[in-house]
Amino acid sequence: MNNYDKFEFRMTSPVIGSLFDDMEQRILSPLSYLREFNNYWMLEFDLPLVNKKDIKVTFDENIISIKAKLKEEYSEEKLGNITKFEYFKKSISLPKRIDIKKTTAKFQKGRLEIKIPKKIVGHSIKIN
Amino acid sequence: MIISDVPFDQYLAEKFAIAIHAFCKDHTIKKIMLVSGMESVNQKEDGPKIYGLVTHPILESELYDNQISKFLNGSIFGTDAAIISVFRKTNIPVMVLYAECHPFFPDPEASIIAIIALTKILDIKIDIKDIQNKIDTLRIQHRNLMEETLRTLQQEKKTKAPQIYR
Repeated sequence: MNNYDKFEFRMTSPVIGSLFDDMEQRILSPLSYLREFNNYWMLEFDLPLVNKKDIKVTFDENIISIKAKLKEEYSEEKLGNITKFEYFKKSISLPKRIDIKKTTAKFQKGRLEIKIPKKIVGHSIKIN
Repeated sequence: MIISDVPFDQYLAEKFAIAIHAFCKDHTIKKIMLVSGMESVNQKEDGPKIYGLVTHPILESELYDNQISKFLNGSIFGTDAAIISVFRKTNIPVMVLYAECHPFFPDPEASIIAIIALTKILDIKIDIKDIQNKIDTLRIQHRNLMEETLRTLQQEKKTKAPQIYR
């Protein structure tokens, strides 16, 4: 990675509203954030209590979805009831002009980093 | 006195720092420790590092003796900056400890590094095994705290969420 690649625009989370969980389906919504670099987007999910083999990432059009099974059930008291959670699940709408085929992912310390290259589109203009 | 992460309006920071100084004078407090996180996107593989900064030379040796790297470059603003500015003009020294942490996600690993540094400097023992064993659960619990904060802030539309909550 050269210095130019490190240049980034910090993005606010595109999905604040969807941080809230689905208690009936026992699904937690993971924290995530998207950063823009010169040639690519970096999407990161916080997935504690998860093993790499239990993460599933899918693309559909410009929507990326992740589902990850927790390695152990997570319980907490919410609204006076004890709720048990088994999964993390979230879908995020990505910017247009991305190269899905060259997308790579890395899982380290319970954080999933998805590097999504931008599609370079454009055409040259002839100068007379 | 140990101060850690004071999340309020930065325009109140100077008044807060002056009030802290008055309190220290009244209670003959000899040293301030300011412990906080320093957001770091590109952390090294071997885990987060901690950096230190002192307002008075008398505390320099404590950084070296405890193998804490000096904070040499960067910008400090808000409450931390106000406390440093106010106290450097007084005879009460301040030591600032910044543990590298994730900018947007809960990072108990950074808290552990900060606690270890504090135990060395203050020569006390704190058992961190429990935190280490529950690190993943703590991350989810902190996520829940963020969720609750967001829910509250969404009701108070004029309030801007702290960076980590956005």
